[in-house]
Amino acid sequence: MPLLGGLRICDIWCLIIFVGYHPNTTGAELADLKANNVSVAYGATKIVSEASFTADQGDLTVLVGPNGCGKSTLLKAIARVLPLQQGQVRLGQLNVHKTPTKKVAKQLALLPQGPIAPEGLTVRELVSQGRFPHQNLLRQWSKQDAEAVDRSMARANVTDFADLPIAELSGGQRQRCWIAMILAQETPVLLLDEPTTFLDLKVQVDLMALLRDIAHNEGRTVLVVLHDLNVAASFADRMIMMKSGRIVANGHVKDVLTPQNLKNVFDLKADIVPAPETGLPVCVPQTAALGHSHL
Amino acid sequence: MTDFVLSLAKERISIKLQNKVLWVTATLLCMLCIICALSLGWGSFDMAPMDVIKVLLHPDEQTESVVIWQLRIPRFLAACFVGALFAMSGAILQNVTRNPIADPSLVGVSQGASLAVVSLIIVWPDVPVGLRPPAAFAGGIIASLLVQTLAMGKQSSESMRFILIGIGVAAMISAVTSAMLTYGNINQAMSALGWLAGSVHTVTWSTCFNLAVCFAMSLPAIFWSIRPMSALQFGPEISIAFGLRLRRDRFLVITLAVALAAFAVSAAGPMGFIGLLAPQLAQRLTPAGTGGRLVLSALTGAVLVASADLIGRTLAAPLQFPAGLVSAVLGVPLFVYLIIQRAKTSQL
Repeated sequence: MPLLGGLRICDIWCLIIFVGYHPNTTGAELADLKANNVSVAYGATKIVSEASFTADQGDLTVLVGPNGCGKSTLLKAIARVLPLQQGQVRLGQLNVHKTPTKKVAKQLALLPQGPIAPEGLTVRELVSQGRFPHQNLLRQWSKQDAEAVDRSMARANVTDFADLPIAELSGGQRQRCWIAMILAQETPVLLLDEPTTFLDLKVQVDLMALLRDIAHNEGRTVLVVLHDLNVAASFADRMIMMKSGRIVANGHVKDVLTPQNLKNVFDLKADIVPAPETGLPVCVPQTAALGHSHL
Repeated sequence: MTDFVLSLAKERISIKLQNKVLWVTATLLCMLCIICALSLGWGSFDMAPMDVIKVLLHPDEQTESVVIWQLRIPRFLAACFVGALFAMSGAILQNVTRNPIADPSLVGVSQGASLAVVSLIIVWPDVPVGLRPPAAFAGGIIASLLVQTLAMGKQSSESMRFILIGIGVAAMISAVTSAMLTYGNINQAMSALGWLAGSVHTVTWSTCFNLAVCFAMSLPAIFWSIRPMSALQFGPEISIAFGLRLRRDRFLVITLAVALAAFAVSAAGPMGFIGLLAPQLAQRLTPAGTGGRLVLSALTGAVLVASADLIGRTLAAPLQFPAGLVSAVLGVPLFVYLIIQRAKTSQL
């Protein structure tokens, strides 16, 4: 009975979503994130020009491009850290830049690049800060807050060192704590700016696996800026490639990570080969023709 | 964890309290009580504990009673208020700028207030002494508004920019003050220097009353500021992501810090170092949340200034050293010691 089987799988999915992810929010919950014709400028300098894309719910969407292409700027603008020069960002029915910022904070969480924790904070205290949008002057700490923090710490696998100061942890552990913090914000959308920079490859892979798992199994929309193309290709459901403030490719990794795009966007001569295990594209730079004069 | 949650009205009011913070708070309060007892008995006119208690219970017209009721009690209270105000101002600024060296003298409050009072003393010596506190307050507020306006960029302003502009403006104002002290009438310059040292020796009940009113009026604002502060310590990007109205809230929180320092300066003259030292000391007593740190900083500041004043007026009595000087002379070695200790545990 294929139909019944399909229904069952659907039920299991719903159950996973229900157990893992508890939005105690009102309003829009269907959380496709849409950027329509977004431009961002610092003064007179345009950094992002007419960018349009959709990050689907339940997908891990990755934004890549060379340094200075505007990918971090676009992410910050989506998170309303920077104002839009034109265009709009929609989250379901919500216009991110026209909605009261407190309300948006319950829908959309941001982990900026290289966040700095206040001195002396423990892991649990850091993760607890993620509850900020759900609290107010008098209601500073509720049972839901405590539960969300415990759940997020377990999800990001940091429960073991919950009471240690952040400063005593390794880079990878620390980054998992920050991810736990934005998980505790319990938003349908998560934005992360280069969360794997300066980390060992194994740690990068673990972090990306966690983020993909959060997208797939909790039905959240996860949008990540990355600079390592192969790490991005291994995990992304959708890859968006930017060059000089414009989106030049957007789609499945196999369609975006092509020799033509690498040449065009990164000025990189590279071969694309399928990964032995998954068949996903892997970028291998062509080095034989490079002389020392290039270095 | 050793926290417990105070919860009222079906969690509509629920506040997390840290056990250790409560203990340290109680300890600091006990220290304040001890300093209070010593302050009442000791001085150029020593009194036995029994006499102090007798005078406290039955005030009369005798010298003992006047010394206790008109001099020592208001002086002790003013020292506590001034210390607490400077310390909270410093704690707020350190939080908002995410920089441990921030203190009220960094945003120009102390310098602006000093310039106002010094010009009153030297340029308009006929103006009554009672106008000095409001002039100090106005000078402090104007100088720090200048710093804030200059530091505001089009984008969310960086804390380093705020600090650099603060240092620059403060240096400029100090230069004008120094010029006045150098070229002004010698007697008036001496009087101005006395005020600049930072002291509570001229305090009366009306000073205390003013400080208490200012303090009470600031309390709701201080309570409000705890929440934005706990987001601001993560920097502008996370603050915005948390739903803070960044520019408005940061401006209000800094303005609160400036007002607290200006109240204190107008009562006792500049004591910049308390704003730097007290929050650092409190931080080392026990790590606390944003609200807890404010309370601990305030109590630490009160203990520092009250004990500095006690030492300053008893060590070489009848000679009196201003509390501002004593707290710097004793506080700096303590501060340096703390930093060296910290370097040893390799947390910078």
